[in-house]
Amino acid sequence: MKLLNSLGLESYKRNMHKKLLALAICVCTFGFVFSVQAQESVIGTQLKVSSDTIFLKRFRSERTQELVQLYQAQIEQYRLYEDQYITAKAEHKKLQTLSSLEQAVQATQRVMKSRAQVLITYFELLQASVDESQGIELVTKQRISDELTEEVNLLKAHLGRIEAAQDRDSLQVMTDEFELINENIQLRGYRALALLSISELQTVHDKSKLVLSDIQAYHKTSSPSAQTQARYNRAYLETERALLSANATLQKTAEEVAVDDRVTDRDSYTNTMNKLQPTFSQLKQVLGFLEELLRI
Amino acid sequence: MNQYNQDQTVFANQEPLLEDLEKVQSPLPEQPVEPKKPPKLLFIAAAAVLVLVASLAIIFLLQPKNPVATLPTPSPQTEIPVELTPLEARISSLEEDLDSADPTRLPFLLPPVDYEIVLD
Repeated sequence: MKLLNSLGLESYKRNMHKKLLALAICVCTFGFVFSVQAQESVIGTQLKVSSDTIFLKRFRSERTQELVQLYQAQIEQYRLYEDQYITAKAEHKKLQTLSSLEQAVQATQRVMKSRAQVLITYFELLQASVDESQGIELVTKQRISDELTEEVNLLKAHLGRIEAAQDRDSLQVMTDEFELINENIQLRGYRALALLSISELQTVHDKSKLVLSDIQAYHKTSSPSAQTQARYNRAYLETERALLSANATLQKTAEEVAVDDRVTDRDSYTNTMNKLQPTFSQLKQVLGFLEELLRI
Repeated sequence: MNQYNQDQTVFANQEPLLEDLEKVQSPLPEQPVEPKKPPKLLFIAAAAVLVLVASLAIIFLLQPKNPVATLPTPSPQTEIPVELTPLEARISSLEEDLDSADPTRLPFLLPPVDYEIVLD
């Protein structure tokens, strides 16, 4: 009996060890997954903050900062109304009662109003940004600014009519009206956005050119030897060549956008931005050259 | 061929083997039983759990307490280290401007709203 007992105890202990080991492995696996998720969450937060910072860096004046804050509050409100609109519309489709119709009409009107408010603020923000931008020709800047003002006025009038709409038929009229307005929203909005991106690169180009001429002046004050001066000259030439090339691409793209109406929607805007990537790299190279010039 | 003892008298003197197990004596002399040491595996598992708990605690401590992104106040001038010369500072500022003007990041897009709201 003792033998059997001792055999049973040994087996029990072995089972306990196995269970403990399994438990430890489970805890480790759970902990690993949890820690990876925690790290991903931290990285995600950092990316979000970084992305927001990049977005807001473009709006530096007090006016644009105010508009950004208003826009963010309005888009949050819009999200809420959009959810209510989706729910009310689905319920009406399912129930087909007068009450569900009433709910759906009210929710649709609310979300239409909210959308118009979001777009009005966004176009005001665009207009303010265009007005403050430095790298766009004055004539083009004025034309784009006028277009954006017109768009804001159209949206405000549309908002007034939505507020006056009382039934589903009037809301249907508003849907049709917005379809027409939307064509201009896409065209004018993306055109302004493309020009803003070009203007930012153009500003970097113009300022880099000024820095180059200041570096040249600084080098002259140090009375370099003939050999060093020859080295400087070769470096100036390469930097000027890169600047010229970047400027030519920027001018050509700006003309395509402002005069030839190449940007009409999101796809054409994205294509234009992709075309600007080599210019962006070239300007990066120019800044590298300028840093090197200071170290020669 | 038979390997067993054929003498039946010897067999009669013998007691049945399984009648009293307690009388069966172990061929080896009894030794004091030493307490068994816990297996190494248990130590390894415990160490793994400890390391895990410690790493989790470090991760939680390193996590920012307020992760919600807030609106930064506008800063017209970028922070420039003191040791930079004016020309170096200008180039550094231009680098920051260029980074925020990266055309492929596309932070500028039209608002993410439903452009086809319709009741029916």
